[in-house]
Order: sequence, then structure tokens, then C-alpha cells
Amino acid sequence: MSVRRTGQPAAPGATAYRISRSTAESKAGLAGSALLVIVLFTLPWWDSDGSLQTPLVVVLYYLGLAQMWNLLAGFAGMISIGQQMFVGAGTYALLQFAEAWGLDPWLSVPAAGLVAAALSAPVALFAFRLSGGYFAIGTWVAAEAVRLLVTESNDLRGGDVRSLTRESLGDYSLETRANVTYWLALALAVGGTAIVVVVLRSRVGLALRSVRDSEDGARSLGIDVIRTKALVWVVAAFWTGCAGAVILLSAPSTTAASAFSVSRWMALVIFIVVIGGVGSTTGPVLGVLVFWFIDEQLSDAEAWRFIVLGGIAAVMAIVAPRGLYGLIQRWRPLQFFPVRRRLIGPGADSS
Amino acid sequence: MDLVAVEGLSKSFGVKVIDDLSLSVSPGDALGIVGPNGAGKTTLLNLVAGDLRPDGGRVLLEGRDITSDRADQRCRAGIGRTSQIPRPFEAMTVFENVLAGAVFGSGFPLSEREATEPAAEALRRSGLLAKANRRAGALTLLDRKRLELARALATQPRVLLLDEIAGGLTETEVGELIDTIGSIRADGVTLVWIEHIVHALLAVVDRIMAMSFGRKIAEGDPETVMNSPEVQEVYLGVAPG
Repeated sequence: MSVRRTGQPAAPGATAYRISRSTAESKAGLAGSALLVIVLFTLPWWDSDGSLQTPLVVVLYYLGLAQMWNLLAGFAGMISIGQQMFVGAGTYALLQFAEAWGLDPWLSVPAAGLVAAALSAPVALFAFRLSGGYFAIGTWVAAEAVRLLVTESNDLRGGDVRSLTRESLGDYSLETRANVTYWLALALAVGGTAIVVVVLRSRVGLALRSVRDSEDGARSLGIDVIRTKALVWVVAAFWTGCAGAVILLSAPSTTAASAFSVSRWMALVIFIVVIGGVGSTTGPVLGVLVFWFIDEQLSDAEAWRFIVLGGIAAVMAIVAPRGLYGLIQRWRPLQFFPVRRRLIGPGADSS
Repeated sequence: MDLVAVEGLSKSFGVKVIDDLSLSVSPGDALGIVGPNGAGKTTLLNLVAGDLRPDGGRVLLEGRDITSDRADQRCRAGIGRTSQIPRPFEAMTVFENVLAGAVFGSGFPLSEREATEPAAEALRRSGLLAKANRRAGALTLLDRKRLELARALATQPRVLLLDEIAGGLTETEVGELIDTIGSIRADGVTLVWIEHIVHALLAVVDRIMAMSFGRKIAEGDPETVMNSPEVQEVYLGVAPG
């Protein structure tokens, strides 16, 4: 039991209250998600021509990126436009580890995430002094600065096209490489979603959502605002860095311009989250499905993909600011991931 | 020893809002603060709670200088507050709002399970238990005020700073609030209460400080202070006669 500083008498039936998180649809949602993950995991065995596997790699790492950006923007109110800096950091860390130092490329993926996490700390030192739109611009400026440093670096040679060569990929067959890359992308998507759910279910999630709604209010309840933000900032950077490494594995050539691309790794991610629903765990999943559909239709026209997705995102932002998930919620308040807390006990409402 | 003390506090926003103000509150005290709009009452509360930093002077909690502590540190040290303009976490439920206070606001972070009971108790005392699972953004003004109180109570404060919590409420609602605050006081929580609705204040507090232009103009037992010529003049516009 808690220590009562004020010596308030305990309510009658002192253990009468408990917290419930799950709902009927969240149980169904979890079961459905587990089934989907199993189906996706076994895909290399039944999708023998790779007609699903190849596009899914892209869809899955985009889902991982989208969940992380949503964690920052949707749940912590930190609208970063600089996440491409962690994608690029992960990409170049993998090139350095696997290509220059000859480490195992798969094991280098989490190490690349750590590099991105390490980079996020000094960025936070200055970006956290900014808020709202200034934070967005500040993170973008930081990303551009990192891109320029990588471009100019004699070791990293970001201005040249660099590739993972056959040597650094070791003795793995083409098929193994394709399959492991696919599973890593799946891990990014599933792990990214799981990270958000676990964070939101924890005390950190309670603090985060408080901070998003009112920083002053959060402080007045004893919440350490900077520490809360810093925690998710570093976690998101780590996971985004891992994504950067997987992106390189899936298309083993890059330049700094491509690895640190604000349009590919930031604009598209924002479109996905805005279309699906900012501030919900389900939103990015819905958004990435729209992205997949549009991508399939417009695969020959890169520019049109941005125009169409950006257009949909702009319209959604005006007519349905909570995205597709928000539209579903208007119809029925479904919650597929059990993150909300309900008080159960005598006198508490059951709504 | 004083529970809360301020010594020679000053704050200026271009003009002096708090001017060399000193004040002390003993454990179990219930202090009311009155004064016309712009007297610096809310600024004083913000300085004690840590939402503002003073230009000069000190804030002490049990003799310890907390002037450079952040608001969240002061909350965990035992200073709870409500805000004049309620600032609920709108996208969260009423219960989640209060749970946040119960988890993070006491001396050390509690687990959610440990915090559930204090959170439910704070909701019950504030009359919000039956609305626990509603979205906070959908509450009426009275319920938002109640939520401010419930969240502050959930942090298990030793001193509770109330900022015009009765403002904007009907007479009946004010009556309910007086009962609630009276019972909080009876539990030994020290109160510092800013209020324009003087009869609400008089029903609970045992000492009043009157402020004008950032200075203390009178302090003492409620009747003497409210009837003093200085207070009559600034508060009611009655010239001392």
C-alpha cells in the first residue's frame, strides 16, 4: 500500500478499486494482431516468388518509422521534422560497421540503432529548449547539419554512392539476405508497435499523455517533463536508427542525400500518420495500408506518390484531424490496443 | 517550524507584481489571501508552486530553500496546487488525470496499482467518482474545478494551494466546495486559499492576508482583517473614515 502523507483515512473496502485496460475489442485486436504476425512471419515459405515480400519490406519499415514518429508527435507532443537524421545515422553506421570494419551485417543493425540513440542526446540538448513549431524547425536544421557533415566527411563519403558489397554481406545467399531483411523489417513494424503499446501502458505513458495535453499541468502533478520527453526521444531515435540500417539492407546502395532525405523519411511518414490518425496506436497501421495501396497504383511515378499522399493527408488534416482511426471512432469508440485505463470499483461509472 | 515561508519575495513583469513580500504558514494553518484583481495573488501562488521564479527573495519548505527547485520537484516535496484556469489533460479520462497525480506527485513514484486507491479516494472526496471514466475534455466548469482539486489531492500534499477554486460557481456549488475543502482541512492538510468569494473563505480559513499592488497590507484573524480600514479601502473602495 502507498504511504499516506496526509493521514487520510482509507475508504471503506480499501482494496475495492482496480484498473482495467482491456476491452472486448482489444482482446480481439491482440488475438488478430498475433495471428497476422504469424502469417507475416511465415510469408517467405509460402510467397515463393516474392511478389508480396518485396513490397512488404518497404511497407513494414515505414510502419516502424510511423509508429516512432507518432510516439513523439502524437503521444508526447514533440513534432519533430528531423527523424531522417536518425535514419541516415543508422544507414551510415551500418555501412561503417559492416563495410569498413567487417562486422556481421545483421548484428550491426541494433548497433546502428545505438549510434542513432547516441546522436539523439546532443540534439536533445538544444532542441528541447525549443517548443512547438520551433522544435520542428530546430530538429530539421539539426538533421540538415548532420547530412552535411556526413556528405563532407572523408571517412563516410556521403557525397558518393556507397554500397554494401558482397564481401560485407558475407557468405549469405541472395535468398537468405532477402528473407532476413524481410524479417528485420517485420521486427521493426511489430516491435515499433509493441514499444508504443508497452510505453503507453506503463507509467511513462501516463506521464507522456499528461505532458502532451498540458506541460504546466503535468509539472504541477510532480511529472518531470524533460526526463519524460528525453526517454521517448532516445527510444524513438534508437528504433529509427535500426530502421535506417534495415533500409540499407533492403536496397544496398545509398548517398547521404538519399539516406537523410526529408521527403522520403519524414514527409511520407507524416502523411502516413496523419492519414491513419495521430495519437492512436492503430492509426499508423491504417495509414501504412493506404500508403501501400497508393504506392502500388503509382509505382511508376515517384512524384505523383507524394502529391497524392500529401493531398490526402492535407484533406484529412482539415476534415478528419484524427485520421481514419478518428473516423472509425466517430462510428464506434473501438480501442484495438489496450492502453486506456478504466477505474473499476464501487461508485465508479461504467462508461 | 514553518511549513512554508517566503522571505522578501519580489517579481516584476515590467511593473512590480510582488514587492518584498514575506509570509509564513505553520503546519495545519488555513490561510486565506484576498485582494483586488492585479494585487499579485496568483503570481504569489505561482512563485510558491514553482511555476515562476522570483527576481529576489526565497521560498522555504520546512526551512529548506526550494527557490531554485522546479514545479514538479516542489510537488513531490509536498506542495499541491490547483489552477485558476483548469488545465485538465483533455484527451485522458478523469481517472487517468487523477492517477497521474497519484503516481508521480507523492514523494516517490508509486506503481499504478499502489496509486489506484489514493486516486479513487481523491475522486470520491471531490465528487467525481461517478464520472471517473469520462473524458476530461468533456467536463463542465464545476467538474473541471473538482478535477483540479482531485488531482492536487491525489498528490497527497502537505500544503494545498487553491487559486480561486470557487470562482464561476453557483451558490449551491460553492456550498458543496466549502464542505469538501473543510474536510480536507480536517485531515490536517495545510491550506493557502486565494478567493474572491469571501464568505467561502471565511467558512474555512482561520487567518487572512490582504494584498494590494504586490504588498501585504494586512494579516491576522479574518474579522479584523476584513474590517480594517486598509482592506475596506482597497477592496471595497471605501475611504477610511
